[in-house]
Amino acid sequence: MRLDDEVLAVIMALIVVSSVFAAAMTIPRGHEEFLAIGLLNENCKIGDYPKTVFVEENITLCIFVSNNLAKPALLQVRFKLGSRNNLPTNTTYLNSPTILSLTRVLNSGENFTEKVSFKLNSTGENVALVFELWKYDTELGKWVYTGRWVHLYVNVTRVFPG
Amino acid sequence: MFAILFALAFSLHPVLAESKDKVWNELVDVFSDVEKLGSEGINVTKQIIMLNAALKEFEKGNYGAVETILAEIRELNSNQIAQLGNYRITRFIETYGLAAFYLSIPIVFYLLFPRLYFRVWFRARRKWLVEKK
Repeated sequence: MRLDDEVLAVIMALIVVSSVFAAAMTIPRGHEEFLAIGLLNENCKIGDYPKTVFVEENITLCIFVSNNLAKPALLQVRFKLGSRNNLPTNTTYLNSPTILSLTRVLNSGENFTEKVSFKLNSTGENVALVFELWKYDTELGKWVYTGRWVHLYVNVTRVFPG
Repeated sequence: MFAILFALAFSLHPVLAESKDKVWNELVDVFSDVEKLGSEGINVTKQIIMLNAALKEFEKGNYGAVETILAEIRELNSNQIAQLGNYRITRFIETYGLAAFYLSIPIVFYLLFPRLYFRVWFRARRKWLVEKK
């Protein structure tokens, strides 16, 4: 086989493109950073969420939290009660008392799934079980709402003796 | 008797609250160092496991246990902070050295490949005889 200029040029072009691509992949660059929260059922799976619960019944749900920031994060999940007209937004948290909280440190790229159990002590329709994700800001020295939350509507009824 | 116990509990409450705040501030300080080290790309897995253990003890109110764990994390952190300068230099050389190596491949190929090709070409035909037509 003869190595003429055209063949050499094609091989050179392939090598240049490959090496530039490899070098670009080597140099670290910023990726999209985000935090995520998810709500799972008592078996820690998506679906089959409770729709109706009883007062003083033990309710178990699973919380999934993922840290995709480029650094470790001190995170807190706060459980609150809301309603159809009273839910958090991406910028404002729910102005209700925290019923229970879950605090964990997560490394970059890590996640955790943990069961939470609680009881509701009053009846209501479309009660929103709200789980907000908060992050400790070491520069500000306080907990900051991340704008991430999940909620589940349930009807809370009382058991009447038959 | 009940009044004495009540008074004692009431007087201890601010002390316990102060202790809780003090330990929490220490925990946050230690986490701050772990956060910095982690953002530099240093492996802080061990510290994170220990911090989560400290958080569990904090929730139980075992502040003494929390302080013990935090002291261990502080020691790990201080070792890693001392090596941070060298780590940054090593990582810089590794990353950009590898990129420079990849970028030098076309130049090396352009300079050496034709010579190598002809050397192989001639070697493969070294026993050939030239015949005059």
